[in-house]
Amino acid sequence: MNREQLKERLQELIAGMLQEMGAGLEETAGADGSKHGPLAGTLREELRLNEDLRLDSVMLLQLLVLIETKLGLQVPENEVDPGIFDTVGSLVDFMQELDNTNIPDPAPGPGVR
Amino acid sequence: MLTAGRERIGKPTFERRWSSYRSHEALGNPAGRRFALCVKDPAELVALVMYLREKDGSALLLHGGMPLETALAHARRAGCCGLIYEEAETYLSVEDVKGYAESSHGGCGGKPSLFQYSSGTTGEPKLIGRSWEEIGIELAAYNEALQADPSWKPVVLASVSHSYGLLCGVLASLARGSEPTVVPNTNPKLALGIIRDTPAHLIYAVPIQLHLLASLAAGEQRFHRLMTSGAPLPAPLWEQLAQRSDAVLQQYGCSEAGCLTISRGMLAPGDIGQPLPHVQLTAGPRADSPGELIADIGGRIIRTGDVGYRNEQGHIMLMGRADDVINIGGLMVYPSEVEDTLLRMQGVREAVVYRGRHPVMGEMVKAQVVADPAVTSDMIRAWCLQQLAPYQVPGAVACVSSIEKNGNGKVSRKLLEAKEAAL
Repeated sequence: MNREQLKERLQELIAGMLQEMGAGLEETAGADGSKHGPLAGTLREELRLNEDLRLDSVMLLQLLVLIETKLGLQVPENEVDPGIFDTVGSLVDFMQELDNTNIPDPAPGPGVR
Repeated sequence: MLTAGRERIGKPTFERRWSSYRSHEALGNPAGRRFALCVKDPAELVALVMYLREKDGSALLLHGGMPLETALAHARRAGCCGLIYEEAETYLSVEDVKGYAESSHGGCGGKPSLFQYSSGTTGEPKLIGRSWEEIGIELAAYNEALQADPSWKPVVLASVSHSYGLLCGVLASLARGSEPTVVPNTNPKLALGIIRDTPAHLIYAVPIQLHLLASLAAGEQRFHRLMTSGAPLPAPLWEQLAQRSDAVLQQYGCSEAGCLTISRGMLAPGDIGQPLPHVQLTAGPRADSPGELIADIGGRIIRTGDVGYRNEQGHIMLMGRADDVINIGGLMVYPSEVEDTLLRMQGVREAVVYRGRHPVMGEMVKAQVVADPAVTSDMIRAWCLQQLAPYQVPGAVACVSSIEKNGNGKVSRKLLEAKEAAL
C-alpha cells in the first residue's frame, strides 16, 4: 500500500472506532457527514491524534490492534515508541514501516541469487 | 524478584535500589513521613513501595505519567512531605504542607499507610488511606482465598499505580513466593507475546485490556487463567473469554477496604465469588431480593454502595450500583441486567439503561442505544418484551449515534439522568 492508501485505511479505522465508541463524533467528523470536521475530506498529516482527534490512550491501543487485525499489518512484539501516536503523519510513518517489513521476500528472479 | 516486560529484575538490583534510597536526602529516614509516588517504571515503583512499607513510611500512589504540576498539587493536598517524580533521583520537596489538616481524613490513625485517591464517581477525588498492617492482613487472606497453584505465573497488565495491580498482582504474588511479570501498557501485542510465552499465566487485567487481548488473539490462542476486576465485565465479552480460557476469575473490592471477594471460576458475568477469610459480607438472600453489599472487617463496617445477592452455591452475584437501581412501584430494575439483554440483540452495539422521571409512576426505565440503522426503537422494545419481565422493559428507547460519556470517558447513568432531569 502506498502512503495515501494507508492514510485512507487509517481514516476508516478511526472513523469506525469513533462511531463505535460514540466519542465526540459530532465535533470531530461532522455527524451529518459534512465537511467541517477534521475527519471529513482527506486526513491531514499534522492532526494530533490525542488533542485534535480526541483519541485517548485506550483508543490508541485499540487502534494498534485494528491496524493488525483489520489491515493485516503485523505489529512487532516489542514496546512501541509512544511517539508514533503523536500525529496522523507519525502513525502513517509507523504503518508504512510495518507494511514494508511485512512484504514477503520476492521470489528470486532469473540471474538473482 | 519480578520481570518488567521482557526484562528480569533480580533481588540484587532491588537491593541496590534500596541501598540508594537509604542514602537519599529525604527517603533515608522515611518513618512517619508521607511520600507521593508518581513513577511509571514498575520496578522502581514496587521497590519504593516495599522500601517505605518496611521502614514505616507512608506512600501516596499517583498514576504514572501524570503531569508534574498536577502530581505536586495532589502531593500537597494529601499532606505529603515530597514527591518522587518518575525516578527516585527526582525528588521534589513540598514546602507548603497546608494539606496536613485534610490528610487526617485518610482515617488510618496515623499509622504508616498506603494512600490513594479514589476514582470517586462524583465530585472531588477522595483521599483514602489504609495502614500497611491492614494491607498485610488483606494480602494473607487474599492468597488463602486465591489458592494459586505454585505453577501459576502472575502476568500483571493492570496498572501497578493502583491497588488491584500493585497489591493483588504484585505484592500478594511476592508474598507467596511467586515472581510476577509486569507488562507495560504500551502495546497489546507485547502483552500477548508474553502471555503466549508464559503458558501457566494468571493474567491480572481490567475488562478493556481483556477485550483488546481477545480481539488481537483472534481464535487461535487459548488462555490459562484470566483475572478481571475494576469494572463490570460485559456479558458478551465474558462469554467469549469463558470459552477461550481454562477459567475466568473475578475479584471485587473498593478503595476503602481493598479486595473483598474472589471468584476462582466465574459462572456468570456478575459472579464475584466468595468473601476473603477476613471479611464478613452481607448481601441480599436471593436474586429477587438483592441488597447492598456491606463488609465487616474486624468490626469496621464498610458500605460499598453496590447491590447483589448470594446464590445457591454461596457465590455473591453483583448487580450494580445501589444508586443506579430503578424503583418501579416497589419492583427493582437493575440497569446492567437490561443492558445485557439489549447487547444480545443483533445490530445493537452499545446500550445504557438509566432512571427517568415518570409523571405518574415516579421512576421509569429509559435506554439509549447505538445500533445499526435497520434497528428501530420499536424492535428493541419488542426484543426486551420477549426476554424481560414487563416492568424491566424500558418505557423509552432512544436510538442515538453516540452515548454521552463523562470526563473519564465512561458512560455515567447518573449523568444521563441528571441531564434529562434538567430539561
